[in-house]
Amino acid sequence: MIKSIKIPAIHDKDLKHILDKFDASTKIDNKEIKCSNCNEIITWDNLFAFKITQTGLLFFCNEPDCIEKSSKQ
Amino acid sequence: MDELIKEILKFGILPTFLLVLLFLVIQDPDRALKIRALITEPFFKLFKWFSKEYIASNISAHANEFLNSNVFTLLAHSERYKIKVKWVKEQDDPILTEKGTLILRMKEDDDQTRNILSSVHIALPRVVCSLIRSNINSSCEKSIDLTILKKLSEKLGKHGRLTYKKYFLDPETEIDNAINDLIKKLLALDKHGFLIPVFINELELLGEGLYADNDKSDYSEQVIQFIEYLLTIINRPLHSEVELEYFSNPFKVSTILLAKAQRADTQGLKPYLRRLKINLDKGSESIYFIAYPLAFDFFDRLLNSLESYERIFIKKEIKTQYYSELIGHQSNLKIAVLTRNDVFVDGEFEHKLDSCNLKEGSRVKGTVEDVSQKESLVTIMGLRAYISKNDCSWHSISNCEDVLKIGQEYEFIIKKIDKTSNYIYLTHRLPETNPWDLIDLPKINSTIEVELISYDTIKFTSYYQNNLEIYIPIEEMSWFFLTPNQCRGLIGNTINAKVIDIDDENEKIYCSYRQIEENPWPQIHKSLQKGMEFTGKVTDITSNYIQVRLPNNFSGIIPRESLQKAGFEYVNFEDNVVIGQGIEVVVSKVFIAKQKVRLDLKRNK
Repeated sequence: MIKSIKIPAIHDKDLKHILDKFDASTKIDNKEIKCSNCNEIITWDNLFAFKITQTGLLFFCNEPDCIEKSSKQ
Repeated sequence: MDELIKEILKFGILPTFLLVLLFLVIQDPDRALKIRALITEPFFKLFKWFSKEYIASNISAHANEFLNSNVFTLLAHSERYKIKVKWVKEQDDPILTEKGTLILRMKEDDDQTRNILSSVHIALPRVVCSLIRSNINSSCEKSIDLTILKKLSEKLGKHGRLTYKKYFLDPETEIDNAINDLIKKLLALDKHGFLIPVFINELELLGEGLYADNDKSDYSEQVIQFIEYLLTIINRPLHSEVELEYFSNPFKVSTILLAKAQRADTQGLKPYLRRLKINLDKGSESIYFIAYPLAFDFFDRLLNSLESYERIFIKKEIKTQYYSELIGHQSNLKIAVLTRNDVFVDGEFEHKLDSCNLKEGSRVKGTVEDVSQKESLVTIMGLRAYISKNDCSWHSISNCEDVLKIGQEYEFIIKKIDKTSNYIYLTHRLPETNPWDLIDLPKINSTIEVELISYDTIKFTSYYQNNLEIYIPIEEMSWFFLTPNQCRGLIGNTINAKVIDIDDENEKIYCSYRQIEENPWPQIHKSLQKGMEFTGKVTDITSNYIQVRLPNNFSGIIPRESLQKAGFEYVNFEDNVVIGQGIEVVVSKVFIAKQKVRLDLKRNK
């Protein structure tokens, strides 16, 4: 049996537009968002992923440990 | 073929090309992704056109191809996964309201290696060892994922390896050096073909059990010890025995290595089935049969016979590769993953015997499942039974195969039932076919005609009336010493022999060929005096002596030492002396008890 694993992804082109919905673009510009795993400041360069939670978004930087944690938290 | 190409080309090159593409895609749907990535790549690289199409198809194609051919085909469970990138394009995309959803950011770089590795890294916890992850610590988990990711990076070329090291391996090992150590061990397992087929499969099976038992204990230490155990198997010195059972909670694993093809051919399936039974009795939950190339045929035979074995399930037959240090390159490896059938009750053997009314002495029909030199496996009424070479026929045979053929049904008698080990032993020596009872037995001292069939170091075996086996001890064949060549030369001849012993109890008759003639040795002793000279004829040459026939038809031997003492052409007598040539000899000694004449070269006198 083949199960499909969909990996939701945002293309660089759509990133700012999508994050605007959560008022996160400006916060990234202002360096107000930190990686929820390592506390590193999230920039447009090191942003790896974000997770939708009850309380908002959790951001993860591109450190391997954070990549791994992002799929579990 | 040319005609076919001409016919196809009638439609034009473009439709033919599209037809070939369609065929390739139908054959392997993943090819559609590769083709899409291939077509969009130049546009993406030059103008950044078709960016999403290129990135998504490139990631999916690489990830799926790697996981399918390097991971899923080697796993015992039948679940397969397909990784697909789902683009979130608009603010009102429903996925943005789904709590817990992780959304990856895909960079638009020319180099997509990192995106591919990141996507697989994210997917791994869901597709490999997903259930046991709550029972192992972060170091174990990361080591497993990074080892698999390293395998992927190697498929992505030199740049893939660099990306893996820089962005995935180094940052982790800087923090936790234990990961580096563990990855090295897992890579050693991978090199020997054990990583996915044995280690990961075992974690998958164990994870299922722990999940079902709601066991949330941390088994990281036990997992590391299990790795060490597997390392002792792969690092075992040649021909050495290693512990092939691993019973350390929660692991209950056995491995059975099939490497010695010769042993398998002579002893058949029984030793392995016995080992399997012992392992199950001891409590093995999973058993891994591991076969190296020389044992592949035997591996297939073993698995065929196990298909009907109720105590186990064959979860998966895996074909993989390992690095052979002996031959210095990759070689094939076959691994079968077996698990215990927990529903099986051990008392079933006796119950079946009773229900089928099987007792010692019962006549049964059975189908031959496996044949080896010394023993064969037969199925009777769903039960396994064994028959040894000596019980296959009333005649002496060299291999069970001389009588029994795989898949054929024969009539047997149950010779013995061993209820402690659940074994049934059969015989195919049915009373109505016993030559002892079918022919008139010769009387002692009578002369009978026999055909010589074979010989060994003790006796010649012959047939009387084409049916009853008659034995002639080697020393009863001739009044003179026979060389191996001379023994061989007698096979197939029909001779008259004198019956010298009848063993009624064991149903055996012994004959003598030499006693047909009078014993010449008293005469030899009288007529052959030490120092007598003769011109003899070479009748046989061995590495230890030359046999010479004297003019009076007596035979003697010139020992190797005498030949070498003579020097010249006799130093290499095996090369220089030929059968039939004349030779000057002198009688050295007559051994009347041993019935041998020792000669020397006249040259040595």
